[in-house]
Amino acid sequence: MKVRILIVFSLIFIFGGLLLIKAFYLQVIDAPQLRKMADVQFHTKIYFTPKRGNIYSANGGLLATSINEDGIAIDPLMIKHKYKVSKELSQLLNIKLEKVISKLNLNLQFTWLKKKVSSKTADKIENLGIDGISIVKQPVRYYPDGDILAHVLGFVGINDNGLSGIEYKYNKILKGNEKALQIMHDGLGQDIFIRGFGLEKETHGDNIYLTINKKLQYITEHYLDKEAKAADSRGAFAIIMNPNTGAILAMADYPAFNPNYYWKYKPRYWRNRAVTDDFEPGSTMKPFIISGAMQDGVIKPTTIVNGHHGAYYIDGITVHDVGTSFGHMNINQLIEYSCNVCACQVGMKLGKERLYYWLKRWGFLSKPHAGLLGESSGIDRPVSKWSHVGSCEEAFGQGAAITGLQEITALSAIANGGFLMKPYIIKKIVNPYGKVLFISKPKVIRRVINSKTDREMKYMMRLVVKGGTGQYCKLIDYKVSGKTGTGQIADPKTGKYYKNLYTASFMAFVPYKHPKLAMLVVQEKPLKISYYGGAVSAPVVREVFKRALNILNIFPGNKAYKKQVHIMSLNNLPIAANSVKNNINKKIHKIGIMPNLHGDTILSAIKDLVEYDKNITIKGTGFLYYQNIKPGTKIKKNQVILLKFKPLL
Amino acid sequence: MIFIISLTGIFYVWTNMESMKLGYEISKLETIKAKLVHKNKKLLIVKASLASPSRIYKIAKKLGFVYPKEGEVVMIHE
Repeated sequence: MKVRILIVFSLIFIFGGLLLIKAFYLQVIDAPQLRKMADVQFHTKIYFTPKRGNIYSANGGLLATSINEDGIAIDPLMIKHKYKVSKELSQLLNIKLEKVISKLNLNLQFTWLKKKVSSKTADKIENLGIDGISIVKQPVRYYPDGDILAHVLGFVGINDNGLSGIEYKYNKILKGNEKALQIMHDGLGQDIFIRGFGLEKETHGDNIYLTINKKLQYITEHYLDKEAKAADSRGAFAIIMNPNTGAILAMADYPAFNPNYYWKYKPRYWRNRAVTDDFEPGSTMKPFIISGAMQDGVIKPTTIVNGHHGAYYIDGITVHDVGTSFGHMNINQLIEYSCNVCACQVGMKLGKERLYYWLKRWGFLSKPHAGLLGESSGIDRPVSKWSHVGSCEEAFGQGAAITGLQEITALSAIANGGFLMKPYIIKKIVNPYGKVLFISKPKVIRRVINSKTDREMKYMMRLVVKGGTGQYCKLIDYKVSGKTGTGQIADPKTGKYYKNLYTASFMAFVPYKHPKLAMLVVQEKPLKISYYGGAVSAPVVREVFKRALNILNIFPGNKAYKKQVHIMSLNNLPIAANSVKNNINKKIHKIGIMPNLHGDTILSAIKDLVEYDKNITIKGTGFLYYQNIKPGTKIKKNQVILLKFKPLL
Repeated sequence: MIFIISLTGIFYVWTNMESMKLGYEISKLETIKAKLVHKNKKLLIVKASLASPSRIYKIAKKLGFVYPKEGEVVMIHE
């Protein structure tokens, strides 16, 4: 018995001791090595594909975004039973069988079969379990609005790199960075627990908000496209700026392209002409030079200049006026009717040095740095190389080649009281967690002209639209100021001007006294309708202003009420169907006596009280249900008239 | 004493098991979440395309909508 017990205990001790020794080896001596092996087996790194940041409009409308799409990649050398596999893939991917076969027979280790497939199709292909076929997720850039703002946004190529526009210029900010995250998985390869939730966001690129107003952008593109097509222009662009801040609200180019399929267009379609192309502006240059001359005291608005009836001979060249010829006129009329002969004389009087000074002062010949790709600084010869009539030509817009962005910035300075603002297109940059990293603030570069000169120039430009060369831009409700321009185009080979090819431009701001919008439209080589800026470009500005002012809720001013009512009564436009019945029964009211306005629309109520428009307070919309003064009572002077409206339900 | 030690041991094993189970569950939910986020992104793109001004303009034109003529819009001071 004792012996048996002894044997059992000895065995227990021996095995126990062996176990302890093994445990000691595993836990202490081999531990570091084993831990490493386990780490390899149970821990693995996963890499997040960096998500490119989005681009938004000023109001947060999505302009560009990225999404990871499944793509089918193949290793042709690994695939067996090629014909059978080709047949299956051809059916699932809806690709011609011959095409799949040719791809599968390539002598390569990697090639794309289809770059974008639905996740359902990807699952089906994965379930086939064929060696040599893999599902690869890759980022795809989307521009939901298609061709809207395409020239500014640019596009993204393979490897998620921007190739043009904002996408290229801000590639580093948008692209994000690759980050690895360590996870654990079990023996079957299933992920167990992922630490660091939200880490994925760290790989995301930052989001960029532009100053662009999507609605304004659309209407600008729409009417530019319409007019440029009708005029058969080779190219065209339009820019809208907030003259008080320098923010670019819209920037359109013609012809358009769709960045979702950029490769289908020739590279000339991708260019953002508004910032890259230099052009000789023609007469739209006059307001800038004339303002300079007035600021220098060389001329006054009342100074009389001789128009020489449209042809002025000066030192070997003859300056012509296009279309019309003028006799003597003052500076106001010079701008109003765009007299080249007169501008030439002002230029000569101002002198080369001062004229060049003023060109630079307005921001021409230097880069605007608005944050756009390919901004040109414009071209002009140094003053020393100007001919003796250089300042004559420069005064009506020949010689200096400028960009649209420079011109709209200078125009904004006239509109805002003489302050040259720094133009900008980036409103803010926000990181994936919502933190604002950068925000633009309006910046004054310098004051170009004083308020007196500015007021005088604004008035001159008002005359252009009121009765001068820019009448196609006249609006009923708002006062527009503008300037037309028809610039000659130089043949790059000979350096001489083409006889019948022009740049037709029009620039304007609105409302005249306190401008909220400045706009420039330039059309290159219009061949049909007309080549005058006032005829082909002014209508674009008019159509866009008309709608943009409503979109932005810009109040036309008190006088507009009366004007609107007057026009409506002239046109006999229907005021509101529901109020017709009411109007029939209503007695024609006497002036000074409160009429019965129940059931009237706002417009018809104002029509009846047009003499008191300043005293009227309106609440609500729809049809009148309350008036504070009883019908038939006398309306006292300066008495507040409260009218309440509600919709008919 | 042995009872307490074994109870603690059982509790320790149980918590580990529970944590593993939750780990699997979280992983599954993460996968579902990733799919939903992807779907959501796709839907946002579709939404943005549907709200595109050019599309709305075309539909409005088809329905016979027109921009108000000049003088037909009255701005109201609030």
